[in-house]
Amino acid sequence: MTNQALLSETGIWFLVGYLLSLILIGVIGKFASKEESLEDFYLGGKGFGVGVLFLTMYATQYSGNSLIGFAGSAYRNGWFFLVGVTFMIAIVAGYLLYAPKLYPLSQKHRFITVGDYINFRYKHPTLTYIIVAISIFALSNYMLTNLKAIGYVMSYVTGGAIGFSEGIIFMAFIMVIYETLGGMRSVAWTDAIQGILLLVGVIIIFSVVMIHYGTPAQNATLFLETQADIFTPITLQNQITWASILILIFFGISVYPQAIQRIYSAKNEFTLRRSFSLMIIMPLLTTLPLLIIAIVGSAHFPDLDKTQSEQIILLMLNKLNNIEGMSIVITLFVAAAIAAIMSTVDSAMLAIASLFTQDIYHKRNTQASQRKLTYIGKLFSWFIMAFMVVLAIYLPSTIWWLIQMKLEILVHIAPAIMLGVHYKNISSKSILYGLLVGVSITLLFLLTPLPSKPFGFHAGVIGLLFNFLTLYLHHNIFSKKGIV
Amino acid sequence: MFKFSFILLFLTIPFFSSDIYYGIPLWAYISLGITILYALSLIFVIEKKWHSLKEKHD
Repeated sequence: MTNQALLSETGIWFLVGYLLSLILIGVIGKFASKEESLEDFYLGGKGFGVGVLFLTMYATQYSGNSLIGFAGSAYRNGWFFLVGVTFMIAIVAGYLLYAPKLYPLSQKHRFITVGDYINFRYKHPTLTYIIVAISIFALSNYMLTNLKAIGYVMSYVTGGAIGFSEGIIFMAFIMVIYETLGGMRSVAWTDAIQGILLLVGVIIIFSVVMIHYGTPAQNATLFLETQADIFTPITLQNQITWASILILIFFGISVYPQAIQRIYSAKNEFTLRRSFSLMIIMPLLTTLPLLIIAIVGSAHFPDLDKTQSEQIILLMLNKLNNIEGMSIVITLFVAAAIAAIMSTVDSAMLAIASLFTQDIYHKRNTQASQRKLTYIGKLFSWFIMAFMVVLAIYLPSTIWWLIQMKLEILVHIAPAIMLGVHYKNISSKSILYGLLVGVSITLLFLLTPLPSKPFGFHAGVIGLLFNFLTLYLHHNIFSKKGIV
Repeated sequence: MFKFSFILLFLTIPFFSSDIYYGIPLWAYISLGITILYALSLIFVIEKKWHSLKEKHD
């Protein structure tokens, strides 16, 4: 950790101004709310146009990991991380498998959460609870990792003036305040600002790096001198890993509960379609530039360890500090990183609170008024944020690996959603048994001495194969004969 | 038909050599090119074939 603040005084004031503007948006979101209801609070009254919907989808999908983790992965894996561009596009392809049918259903039956759809489609409380529990587990993980990241960023950019724990607590307060003020409206509007910051930040930083460090072609000789490894031939293992990552992301990230809530909140079908089209372009304007920056960086700054490699962009920008105006670019990078992290945490928190309120509390308190449910949801947001802050600060690193298996578990809810909207004959039991077998096999590989990547595939992918297989067999042997 | 289009994603798996052209390995050009084609086809489906994505399958 550096003792020298990365941001200038002006940069810090810019950051303070940005954070205060988020609170202001929360206040505006509160005044814009039309009624005290879960639909208005958690879906912004289902009235988002293309601009806000696209930007909130974009900002939510590109977490802090996109800016910091992706660059580190690209530094370490070279061009192999091109898979990052492909999988970010694949996520939208995943949406297309279910969103065109789910959206009209959500409008007709006023869905608020993923649990609402599962309950409507299968009418099986146990299945709904299991899917809600898996969703909350995955979202909690998202919150935790991003809260930790924001603690490190705040501490790093202020040269330790704001410590890791203080950074987490301070930012958590800001997020929970604007979220409970205006709900999805505030979150989506702040996401819009955060999305613009992220996109503009990446494009400017890419331009700066290409001008001052050169393009991959201009660095070709340097690559061979310092990073010849990135040109080693692709192996069968690489190809299997590539395929495995695509499957995991395609079925996993496309069913994130916060993404489904954004689909529900579209004003109309045109809005949703246009937002998806724009989302497909974004990996080429965000992930690809980050990949190229990190690869160019690897030629100029070889032999960094894992932690250092995740700071490759900052390292590259810092070396250009003597150039006029570079402090502005660094401030922009920091703001973009913080924006990316915040937009992910606030969306995950909103989704968790809505899942708890609608799918757990409301089911047990069916007479509760919309006003009371909204109040409970807000209260739960504070509780869950406080709980996550404590975990982010105190969770021992020895059990941190548990958190990292979110996607391998979440992927198992995909059949319930993707097949459920298309095939009305699939029974709840086929889905339930498939899910239980899939999760069990995944955990078997992850929690026992068995290899966590059997045959080079992620455990979640192997589990998903068994999930689909069980579902298919149960459906064909039992359901078709009416023995369900 | 679109249900199976994700299988096209596997075409992006790197199969070509790592010969370097302008600082980038050959397989990366091919994988990126196919990824862009895939992206364009998705945009076409969204903009022109949205209603076909809602076809009944029962």
